[in-house]
Amino acid sequence: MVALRTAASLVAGAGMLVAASNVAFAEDKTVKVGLLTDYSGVFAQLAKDVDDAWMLALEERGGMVAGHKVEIIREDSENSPQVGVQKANKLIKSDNVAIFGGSISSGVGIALAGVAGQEKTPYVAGFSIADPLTGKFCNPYVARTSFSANALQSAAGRYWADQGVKTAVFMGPDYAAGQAMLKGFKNGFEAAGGQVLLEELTPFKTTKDWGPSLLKAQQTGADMIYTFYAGSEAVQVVKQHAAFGMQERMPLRGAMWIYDEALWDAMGGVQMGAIHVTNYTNALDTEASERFEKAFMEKYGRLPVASNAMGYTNAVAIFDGLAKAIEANGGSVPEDKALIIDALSSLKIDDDPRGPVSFNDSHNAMQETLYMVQIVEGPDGKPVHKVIDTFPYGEDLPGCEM
Amino acid sequence: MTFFLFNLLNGLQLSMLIFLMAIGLTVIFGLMDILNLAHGAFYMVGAYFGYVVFQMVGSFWVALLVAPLLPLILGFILQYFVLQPLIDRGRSAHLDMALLTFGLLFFTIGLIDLIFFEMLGLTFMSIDKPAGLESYVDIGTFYPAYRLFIIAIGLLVALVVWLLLERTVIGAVVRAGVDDREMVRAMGVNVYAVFASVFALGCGLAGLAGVVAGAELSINIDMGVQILIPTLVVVVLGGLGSVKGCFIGSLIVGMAETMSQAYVPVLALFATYMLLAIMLIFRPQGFFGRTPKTV
Repeated sequence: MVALRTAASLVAGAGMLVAASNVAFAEDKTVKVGLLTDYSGVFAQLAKDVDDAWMLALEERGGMVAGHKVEIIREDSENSPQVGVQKANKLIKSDNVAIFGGSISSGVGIALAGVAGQEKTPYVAGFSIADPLTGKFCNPYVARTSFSANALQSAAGRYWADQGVKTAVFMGPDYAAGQAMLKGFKNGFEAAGGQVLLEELTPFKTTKDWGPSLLKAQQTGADMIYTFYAGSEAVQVVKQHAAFGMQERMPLRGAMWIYDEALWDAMGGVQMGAIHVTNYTNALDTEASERFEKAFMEKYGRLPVASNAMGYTNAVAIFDGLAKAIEANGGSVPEDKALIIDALSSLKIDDDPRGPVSFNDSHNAMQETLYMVQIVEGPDGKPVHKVIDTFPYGEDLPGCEM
Repeated sequence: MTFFLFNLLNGLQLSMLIFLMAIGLTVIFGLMDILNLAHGAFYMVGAYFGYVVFQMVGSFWVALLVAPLLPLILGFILQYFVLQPLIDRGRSAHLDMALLTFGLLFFTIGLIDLIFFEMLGLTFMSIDKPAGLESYVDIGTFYPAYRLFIIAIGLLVALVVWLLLERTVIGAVVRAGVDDREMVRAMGVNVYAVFASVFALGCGLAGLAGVVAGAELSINIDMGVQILIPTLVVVVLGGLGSVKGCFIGSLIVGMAETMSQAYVPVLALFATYMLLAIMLIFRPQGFFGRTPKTV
């Protein structure tokens, strides 16, 4: 009898426990989101920029998506595909994230796309602009919120040819990204009637002097040098190009990386007057970019840069895509996580600081226009961007079969 | 033809930059048998401290003179208070020294990252070139004046170090101390202080290279590791402890890098390593290296 009562109370107790945990679960729904990016290594600054933008986007949403509290789990992929894969597996298998994003390196991005497809967990590239990410390696669990190398560079190439530039030298680091940029630029430039006279690819990370390459470029007598370098290599190329007195005779142009704001101090003024293409600048005066600029300024006390804007699109797409998928699934994270990527890539982000952003069939972001900016002296004597022209966005390379 | 001549200048410029780094390493390694992989750290300390000095006083020349003092002092402390006591305790195998100094290199990188990136938010820095050297001179084509300055400073340092080690009493004491420490001590010379001074001088020169490079290249967290490899190649090519060998080794590495980049870009990535392999096979002691002593 006593045993029976004990058993009964045990059962009742267990039942109450189950009920209690259900209540707690209903009141405190959380969704885990992985922020996996290159916090250490050469991209540390970009990673910080992305992280800052994520925090702003999260704050604007009150830390919630569709009634779920968002828990961000940060992991450092250290600019290494192996480490990235390991950390992604940790996020998926031990943290149980609903989605992860933020990546910067293309090498890491392509590796993560593989993990996402295999583990059926959505991954949204923050930068990782290599064409194959949404080409050859595309799958239902992968999206990208930045752009592809070809879309940006072919548009820039076409723009310069249309401006009457007939010949160009391409300079860039000899690895996947440099080669992709060269191909993209050449596609656009030569299709519009320009001619690349010299393709100067320098050993990545080991080149100590750009003098020989700059002298070779001089020999060709081309109208301009179009270039893709980032970080310390960009600083050195820009400074040495100026030191060789080439600024007037053969201007050095490129995309936002070569004249990144983070490098301006190190360039020591020789960047003044330079012209480059970008997909965002804080000199834009659209309503959406002004709003973003104000919010960013309030939170961090400084102006946002292109990498902040790209981190912002990344976070907004992830949070709003997740919200849309949860709402469509009646208030809980869908079992089939590919639905999250479907929801995300059906978003039309009209108030993106870069200009309206939407996604194409291979889940890659497209924006309406690109911007040609010049670095000029601001009111306080410090360098600032000035938008000198806008031009249409380019196209992705084909190759995605889902 | 002029293309070739200007590449020759470029090669010379790069050689001198590498020489400033390698000379300290080869003297320390050759004369004291300490494989100092932390040499890249002293190069970084020179560059970063040079940046700080430059930001404070706004003069390249002050930075050039003051900044090498910090790596010089740190080098003295490292040798006198850390490495020498270890050597006295018998922990002087190349592996011990390499592991310790390699660890020190990464410790320094971490510390600099903590201070400059994490705390001050700086990633890429540069020291402005001084007035008169920031522009270019017209010698057939526009050629950067600062590169001519690098060549000059490299040649000057080579001359001074050679005179110091080969033609002065200090140099004689250093060489004697290497050959027979006890005898030199018996003659009333504080060998440890001499060793530490030479070590410090090498570190100071690495710091000087850091400031010089800080204006031409850029100051960033990878610079110490990047410069270490060509520097080690020079030390192997030139032979340990030889100023002459180090000078010629630097010329070979600098020229190989420049000329391959200018004429055969496909070789640029491994031209120096090819040289290194050939050297190790046919003349492992280097061009001017002394054959190892057997006591």
